[in-house]
Amino acid sequence: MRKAQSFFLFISAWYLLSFLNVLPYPHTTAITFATLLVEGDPVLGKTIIEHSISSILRVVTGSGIAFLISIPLGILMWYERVYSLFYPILEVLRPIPPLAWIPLSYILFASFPNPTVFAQIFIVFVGAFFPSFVTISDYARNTPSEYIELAEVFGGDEMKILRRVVIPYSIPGIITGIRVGLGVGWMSIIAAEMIATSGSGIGYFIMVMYEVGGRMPEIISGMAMIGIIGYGMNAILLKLEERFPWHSKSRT
Amino acid sequence: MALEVKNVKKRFGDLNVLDGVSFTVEDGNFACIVGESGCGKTTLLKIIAGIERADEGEIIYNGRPVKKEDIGYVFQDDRLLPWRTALGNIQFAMEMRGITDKEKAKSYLELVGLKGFESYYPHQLSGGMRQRVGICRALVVNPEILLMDEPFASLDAQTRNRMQMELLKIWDRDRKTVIFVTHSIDEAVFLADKIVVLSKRPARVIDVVDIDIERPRDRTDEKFISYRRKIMRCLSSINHAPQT
Repeated sequence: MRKAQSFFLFISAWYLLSFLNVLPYPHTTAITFATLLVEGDPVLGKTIIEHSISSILRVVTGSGIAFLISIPLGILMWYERVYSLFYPILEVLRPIPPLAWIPLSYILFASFPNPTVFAQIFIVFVGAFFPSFVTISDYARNTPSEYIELAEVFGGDEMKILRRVVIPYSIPGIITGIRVGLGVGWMSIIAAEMIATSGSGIGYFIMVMYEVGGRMPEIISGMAMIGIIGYGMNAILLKLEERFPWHSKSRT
Repeated sequence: MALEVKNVKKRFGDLNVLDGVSFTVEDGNFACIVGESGCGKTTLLKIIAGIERADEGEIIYNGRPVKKEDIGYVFQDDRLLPWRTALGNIQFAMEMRGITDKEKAKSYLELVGLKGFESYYPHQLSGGMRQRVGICRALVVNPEILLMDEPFASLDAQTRNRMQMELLKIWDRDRKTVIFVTHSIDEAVFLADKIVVLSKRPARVIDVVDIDIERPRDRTDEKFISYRRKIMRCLSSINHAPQT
């Protein structure tokens, strides 16, 4: 019921803005959106689905690489030695937003066969790495001391404690980390695609639609698609997180 | 053959917790340690288990320092790992010692009447069942000494009495040495061969009372009540507020 009200309020506000000539009408936009789902766009000839798939592939690649590093490194932060070695470095790099890496990465990958795509994947990597790393290492470091004590009383050594206590305890944290990382990675790819020509991608699509004369229904359709995909990824991973009874309520 | 606690002292900063605690438990005896809440009973148990270091004194078992392998530990909270099933939690203790024997773990669950609950997670079990899994976990590694830290404190009175009887039954099978910490005098008199009475913090041994009543014990029995009275007096001789 509340959801319906909320939706109604949103659509009403949109119509109001349309009457004032600020935005195109919701129904016009909906028709454009539906058309773009099945027919190619007027400039690049690709459907909005094809654009989304390109973007998703870049996000999955970039964040996949990020998680391959952030998961083991985050878990290892449980060791005080590893923590004190890496934490200061990461704390300095972390406040740099992924977008600030865009110019540097386009230069770094300039000599690669497909520099734009490499640079974009790198930006997603930067975007996904830090939030997932922080979430996972927080989780691992907060492994309850009661469980550590339990392992110790039965003679478990550090390695066994890591494998049998810290890692299983951190699994919900890993899923939260993946969820948060993918979210930031998704935002980063849109931004990265808007800056350089990549031939496809939802961000690039929006940019092109802007450049050919500010086609608002197309631009809004692209934005809607970004929202739908981002929401979907988040919802699936949230469902997964809730399956763990010891999951401490998500902080992010 | 005995477990000897010799002059154990422990301070946490300014807080003097254990002030020279000494007592001996003969092999195969069931000893209870009673004393007020917060008097250092848990600390003493952790020192015996080797997960807390004493500032002074030593724990001797059969003439040598006690080892981790000698010990099975039952915690005050059930302390089951929420991501493991009942069976998995029992296997956890074995894994910590590099043993894998699923059948043995299963047979111990059966022993405490939890056959059929192997694949249940802790949140699906009642408080009594969880504590039984905790006892299984301590027994499955074949300890010589079973340390129990107020394991029944959070259970309701009925479950608690039932668990006490079941514990005695299990103990009677292979007569391990048991050190059972409690602040309930009633529980101690019901269970123990010997009761070690500790003073308020900093803890010292005030008295050691041998309980000479046939098992199973009857709580309404004259002898039972007189032992209770004796220990209560012993505690109130030092403490202002005696506990029952």
